[in-house]
Amino acid sequence: MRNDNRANRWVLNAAAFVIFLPVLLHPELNLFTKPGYIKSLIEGGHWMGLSFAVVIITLNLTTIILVLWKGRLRLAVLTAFFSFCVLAGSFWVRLETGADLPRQLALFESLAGIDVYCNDVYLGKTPLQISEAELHEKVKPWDTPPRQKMVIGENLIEKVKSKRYESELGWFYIPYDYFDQPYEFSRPRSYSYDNAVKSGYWWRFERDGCTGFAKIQDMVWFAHSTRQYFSIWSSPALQFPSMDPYLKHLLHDLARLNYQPSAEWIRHVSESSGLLFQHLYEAGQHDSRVMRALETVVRAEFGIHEEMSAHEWEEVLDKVTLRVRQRYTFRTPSLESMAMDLIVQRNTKLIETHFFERLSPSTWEYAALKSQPPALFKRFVYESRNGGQFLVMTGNYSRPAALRLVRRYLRNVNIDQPVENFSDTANHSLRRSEALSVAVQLQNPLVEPELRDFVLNLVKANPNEFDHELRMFIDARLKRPLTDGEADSLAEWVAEAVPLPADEKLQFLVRLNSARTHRYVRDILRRHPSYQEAVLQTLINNPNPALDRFLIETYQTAPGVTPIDAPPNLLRAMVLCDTPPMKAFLEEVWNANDKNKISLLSAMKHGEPNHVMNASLEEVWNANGGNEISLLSAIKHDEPNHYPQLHRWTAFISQIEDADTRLAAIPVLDQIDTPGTSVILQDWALSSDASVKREAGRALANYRERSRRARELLAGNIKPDDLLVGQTAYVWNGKDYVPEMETAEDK
Amino acid sequence: MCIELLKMDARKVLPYYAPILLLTVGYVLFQETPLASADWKLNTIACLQGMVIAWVLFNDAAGVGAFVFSRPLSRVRLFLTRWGFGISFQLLTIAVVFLTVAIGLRSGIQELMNSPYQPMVKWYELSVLGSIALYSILSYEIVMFLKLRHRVVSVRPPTWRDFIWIVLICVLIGMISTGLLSNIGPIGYQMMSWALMTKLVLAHFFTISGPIHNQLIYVVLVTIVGTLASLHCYQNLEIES
Repeated sequence: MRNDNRANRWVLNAAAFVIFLPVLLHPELNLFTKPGYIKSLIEGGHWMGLSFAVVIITLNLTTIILVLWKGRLRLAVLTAFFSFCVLAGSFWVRLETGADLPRQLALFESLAGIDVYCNDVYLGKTPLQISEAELHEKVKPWDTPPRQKMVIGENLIEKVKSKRYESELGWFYIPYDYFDQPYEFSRPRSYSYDNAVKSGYWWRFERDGCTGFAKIQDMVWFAHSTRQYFSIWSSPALQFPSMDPYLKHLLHDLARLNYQPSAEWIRHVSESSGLLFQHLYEAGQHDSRVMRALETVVRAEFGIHEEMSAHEWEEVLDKVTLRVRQRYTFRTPSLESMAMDLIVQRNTKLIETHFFERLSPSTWEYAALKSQPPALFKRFVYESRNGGQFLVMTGNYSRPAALRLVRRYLRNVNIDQPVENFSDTANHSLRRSEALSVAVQLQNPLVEPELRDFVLNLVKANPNEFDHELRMFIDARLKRPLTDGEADSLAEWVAEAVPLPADEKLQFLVRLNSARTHRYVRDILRRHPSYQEAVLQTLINNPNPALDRFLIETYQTAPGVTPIDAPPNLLRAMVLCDTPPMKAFLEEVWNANDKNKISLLSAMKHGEPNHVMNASLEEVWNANGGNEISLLSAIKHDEPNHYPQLHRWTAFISQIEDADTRLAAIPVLDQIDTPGTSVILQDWALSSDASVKREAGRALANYRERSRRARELLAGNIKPDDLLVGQTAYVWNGKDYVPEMETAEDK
Repeated sequence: MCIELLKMDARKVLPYYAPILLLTVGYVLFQETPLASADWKLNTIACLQGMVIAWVLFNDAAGVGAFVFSRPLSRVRLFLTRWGFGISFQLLTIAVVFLTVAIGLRSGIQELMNSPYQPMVKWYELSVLGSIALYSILSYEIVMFLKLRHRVVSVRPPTWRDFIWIVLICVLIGMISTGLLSNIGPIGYQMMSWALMTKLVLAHFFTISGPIHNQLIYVVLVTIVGTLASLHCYQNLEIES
């Protein structure tokens, strides 16, 4: 500046400083945006990175002073550019190698609320992030492997003493040192059982009193570098063995109260719904009384009653949103999803009004799919410009504009394999995967032909790359209700166009209720007869009325042509196939002789024969030729509560006078948890017959014990894990894990 | 006198402004994807517009400066007239884009081109006006201040090389500031190829992807400080005949 100019240089320098603020503060903010970064550098002994950070910060502070004092803008720009390039370069190198970066562990980003322990030190709830330095400060490694309360898959230990099976075991304490192993291409190198056991770090995951078991090789999902950290992401597939007895006891308590849930039951289910709800919902699929109980929980939790004002519905929506935010995700089914169902049924206007303002993004898709709010269509069209979930929401509308949008989107995706460099390949794959994901989720029959062509062309153009997505695509269509025409066309497409192996095609076709299914299934089985057993098993799990003729033909061609000689799975599949031709055929078999009746009853594990034959329970009871013992042994099954219709036999059982028949009926009563059964058992426990008295007393004691444990469970006095009884514990003998008894004997 | 000054400035600016306006309108009319604030191509054009207007408007050819500054107008008035005129050009662009979208010209043409989005998205597309204003005014203020500051502190008149230098500074500021403010700037990515890196840099510079209020605060701050500092420069300019 000329000396005689009256301009105030401080004003100019200050203005330049403001304009250059982002540039000047860039390195500092980059280094300090994550609290604890410098601390972790120091604690981790990353002196190279630390000195590098100090040099950059010093250089930048000097530049700031020079700008404010001397107005050296070009110097500032050059310095900032230098810092920028060096930082970018260093991060670039780190992104590739992860070298010199502090490491951190991110646990269960997708599943919230799991308590994480390492060597029995509580680290917090998921989603959990913990640095290597913090973990090592909190947790000291164990010298000796801990006692395992139980192991999932222990038959592998018992049967095969081979190291290669140990990776398949699910552990109570899972050995793993996340920070002491090399990572290649974002994946850990194979981590042997021996190395894991020597690691000294034993993880335990618990949710609502249920311990989650995991396999060693499932512990790491992937690892990658960010600007500040080398992050190791872990989300092992947990199994909760105590869930099964937990569920049984909760259902027992519900049955004990005639499916009118107590306040304690409602509170417990509401508080522990994170893990429990999915299982209760599945039980509810078989038993409407359980579903009604769940609805009671939802109503109590969110304050939903019959006469609700608009303001009260808004409060419900707020509660749902708050819970979703607290749980980080919107799960289906869940208490929140059931509450959303009630909101959508009663007050669609509310969804329209508050869709973007109050609902969290994870709730959007569900609400949109359920309600398809007309007022939001234009907004959905606008938001779907980049594809993704909004395109799915828009594409499910039946409006012409939505169809054009989907068609254009599919047309613009390049399905061919990329030929350019690696980065373009990654982007290209990403776009194709996203398009496939959209295709899988779209449920609009009007664009279904285009979707099928798109998926098929993509799969054919990229052999073996998208087979999994193809399976998901078919599976998604099988899970939704289809019209006859849609089912026929899907069957034809799966059988004749889809490039999958015959056994996989067969599994899809067997689940498809289409007039053409029979022909396609028969043709495939003619070429591959060994697949028949798998087909029958699928038909037991997913009864398909379209395959009644197939089952009848299979029965008629089976050796012996009697229910006694027929494969048990065939009979089960026939009994579960609820069609008039099948009923007529089974009636014919039923009426042939008494032996046939017992064989068929054995197949009727559902205890509800009247949906198969035109006979009432009473007729079946009486038609048994007086042989109730056989009938009772036939209707007894191993998994109580999973077949809730069993209680319908209670009225007939209560009339039994004969001691032997009563003895046969007691195991059945033992599996029915309604108050009616306890009354019968109490009565029989006073019987003059010693055997009946003893067995009824034992069953009654079981019933009371179940009730007591259920009450303890609801009161919080015991945890679901305490219901795991009779499990083998495993202890370390210096070389290997062995059953605890074995060690005691060795000693 | 003001009118004459404005006429003179208009003659200076229009040859540069008109092509940019045409480019903007052309883009708005023929871009098939719905317009959004994260449209980096449109934001790039807006940025270029702000820079060019500031550079041309506050650049007086040899002899012209002496003539202008010798007129009976205070320097404050002279500065505010020119500054306001520059802002008016940017508002004109915004008005033209608004009309193009609002009267249905864009949606009409797009419907003829079989765009599946039109006319449903018409009113949502107006969100693009905010980002045009934001990028245009930010670049206008920075270039204006840097140019006037140069005229105060340097003995030689600014040249087009200085303009390129200033553009580079703006790109750097934008690149770093958007990266900083949105916390995912270019350095957060694996830059596997130069093509991808260039794309990312451009996309992030001209995309409002971070917390919008941070960027708004920065733009408002720069507008106030830049305008006041530029006025201070203008009052202390040394004019040579």
